[in-house]
Amino acid sequence: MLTEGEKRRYARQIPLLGIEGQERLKGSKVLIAGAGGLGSASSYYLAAAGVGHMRIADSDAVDLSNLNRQILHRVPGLRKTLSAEETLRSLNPTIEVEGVDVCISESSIDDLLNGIDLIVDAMDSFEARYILNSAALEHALPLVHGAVSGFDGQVTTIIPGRTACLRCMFPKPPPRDAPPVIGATCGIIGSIQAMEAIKMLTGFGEPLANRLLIWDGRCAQMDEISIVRNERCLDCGSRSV
Amino acid sequence: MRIRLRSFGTLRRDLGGDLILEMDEGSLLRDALLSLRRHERLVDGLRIKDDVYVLVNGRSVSDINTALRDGDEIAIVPAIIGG
Repeated sequence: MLTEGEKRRYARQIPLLGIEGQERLKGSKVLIAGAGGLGSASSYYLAAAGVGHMRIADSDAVDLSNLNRQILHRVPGLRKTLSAEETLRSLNPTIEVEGVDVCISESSIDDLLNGIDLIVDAMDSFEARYILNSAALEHALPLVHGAVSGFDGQVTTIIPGRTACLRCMFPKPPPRDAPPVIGATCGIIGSIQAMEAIKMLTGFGEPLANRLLIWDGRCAQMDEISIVRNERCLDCGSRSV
Repeated sequence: MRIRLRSFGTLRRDLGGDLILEMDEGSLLRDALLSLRRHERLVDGLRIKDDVYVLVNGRSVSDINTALRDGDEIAIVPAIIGG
């Protein structure tokens, strides 16, 4: 049930989502996996939109070199989860924000997913992304994948039992790297991830299911590739669709 | 046979973007990739490089000897890693 204050706060989006859609957001729990560039942009918009419970997992402290793109953070040296909690609570005091200072691993992921309705992939390595992918399949949770490099980025929404999974698209991890990135690239891709999450949580619109969206910032061009599930995928191949 | 080849992101400029390749019947994926200027960006010896993903008709492919058929669409995507 929305309060009168919440109805006023969300007055410019309730005409789109309806009271019911807004209440669905309020009743939702989202895991933001990573409080970096993508986690900053996606969590900002999800918090502002009124997702009732945001759990943000990260195990790093803020570094000065993060601040060109990680707009959750202001103070180098602070734990990112604390910084994220402060920023998002200040942005929207009506929601619950829970920072979890932990490295995402096979041993930590199940606890992180307790009660969660949707995962936003804001990680910086494919090894960690594969852990999210397997857990999303195991727990039948939608996973909104995003990644950035330089001026470029990509997004897709993985719906267990319905779409190709992350490993169907990217069967082997690319070499580890810490690519340079323009902060606005994180803003673009993280915002699309937030939009995908809102659509999945409320049931509105068409998600990026079996579609990989690729943003080329140098040319300001958005392309799309249709993706087909791999029946022999190591992660989802043995699961029925 | 006609094969559509699309490349994205940083690879678009190296490989030419959206191309139609006229190829002989029985051609393989490697024939299509090696026909591109700057193919060294994609292929290392006879394997696809680790920082590139190649999809044929939406399926990720690692075997460079995959057979192609008329109308196939190849997508070449650079690895995008960061968060």
